[in-house]
Parts: sequence; C-alpha cells; structure tokens
Amino acid sequence: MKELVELIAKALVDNPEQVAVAEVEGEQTTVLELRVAPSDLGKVIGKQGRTARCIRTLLGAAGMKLKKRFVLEILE
Amino acid sequence: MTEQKRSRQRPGRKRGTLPEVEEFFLTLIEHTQLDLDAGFREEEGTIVINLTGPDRQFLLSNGAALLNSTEYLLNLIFRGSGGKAPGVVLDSDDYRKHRELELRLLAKMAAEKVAASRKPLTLQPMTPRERRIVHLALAETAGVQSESRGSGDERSVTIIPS
Repeated sequence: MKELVELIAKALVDNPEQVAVAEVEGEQTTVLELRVAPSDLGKVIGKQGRTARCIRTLLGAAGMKLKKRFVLEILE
Repeated sequence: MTEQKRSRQRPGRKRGTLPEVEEFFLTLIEHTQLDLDAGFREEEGTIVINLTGPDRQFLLSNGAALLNSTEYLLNLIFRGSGGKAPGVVLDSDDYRKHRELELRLLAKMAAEKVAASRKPLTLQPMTPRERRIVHLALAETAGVQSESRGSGDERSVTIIPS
C-alpha cells in the first residue's frame, strides 16, 4: 500500500522528490506515514481535508479487499 | 520572476492526455490490488474511464465513495484545483446514468411532498454533480424552489415551497 500512497502523493505535489512514505505494520492495522515538503502539505490535505479523505477512501477499499486496516498519517 | 515561479510550480505536472491518464490509472488500480478492468475513451474533450470486474462492488458501496474519491483525485492530478468541467469521468457500467435517473425520480417525489406539506425538505448530502442534476430536475417543477446548503461533503439540496 506504500506504493499507492507514494504514487498519488507524487502526482499531487510540486516536489515529488521530497515525498516519503513509511509503512509501520501493526497486528491488525498498518500505519502509512506520509511526509512531503512543507509547502506541499496543502496539496495532499486539500480544502477541508478533502484530498486526504479521498486517499483514505482508496486505502479503506484496498483494506476491505485485503481484510486489513490502513491508516494514513500525514506528518508535518 | 513570474515566469520562474510558473515553471517551478509543477515540474512533473501531468498534462492529462489519454495515454498519460491511462498509464497512471492502471498503475493506481494495480496498487489497490482490486480486481477491476478499465476501459478508456475520449468524449467531447473528457476522458471517460469505465470500470468493471469482480471488485466492482467496492466502487459503488457507501454512495459510490470509492468511484467519486478516485475521480476527484484524478481530476486534481490532471487538471489542478481550478478545474471547470470534469476532465476525467469515472464510471462503472452506466452507474452515472442510473444514478441520474434515480436522482430525478427522488427530486420529483420530494418536490411533490414539499408542495403538499408546504414544508422545506433537505435531501441527503450529494456531490456537486448530483446536486446539479437535482436542481435541474426541480427547475422544471412548479410549486417548489431548491437551493444548496452546508459546506464540503455535507452540502445538500433543500427543497422549499414557493
């Protein structure tokens, strides 16, 4: 799922080379930590968090299929 | 100065041609690990992607949340945030068309109720495109007016007796 978040984030931001995703696997939940350039934070969060919510919806569907839970954390 | 800023704005900016959208979208689907087949076509300057396959149910559950979210992201990526008409439309076996018929029917029934009761009625939250369909359907209906209220994902159509 790391690749999915990376693909979307890189396509959204101005500085794709500064996109980094870390996958922290827990027992039931996998946390995906997304880091972007400070100036790109708004691009991955979106108006009223809409962009982030859309990425989470994609992760939710993939999680349903794989019977896992993916959590997206956007780190500042 | 302005020139420099503009060229810096989006170095890897995708232009949204059909092959570009196709390549990006197929990679995206692969990464979600959903079992879906995508068909691509161009229609009056809009790229229409039709999705079908065993995992189609995932797209349409919860008010087509996945279909709408993915479409929103694709348009952000290929058109930027200032997009006007949708550049990429994501559909699944005529879901959009069926939804439009459903919304028109819903609008008609709700309008009858409002006209009879003389009380305003607020529909469930909808996407801008869905609200547009409802407003257009109600524009032809006598005895009621419609307006959108709320913001973001909570924005919904309210039907008011006139």
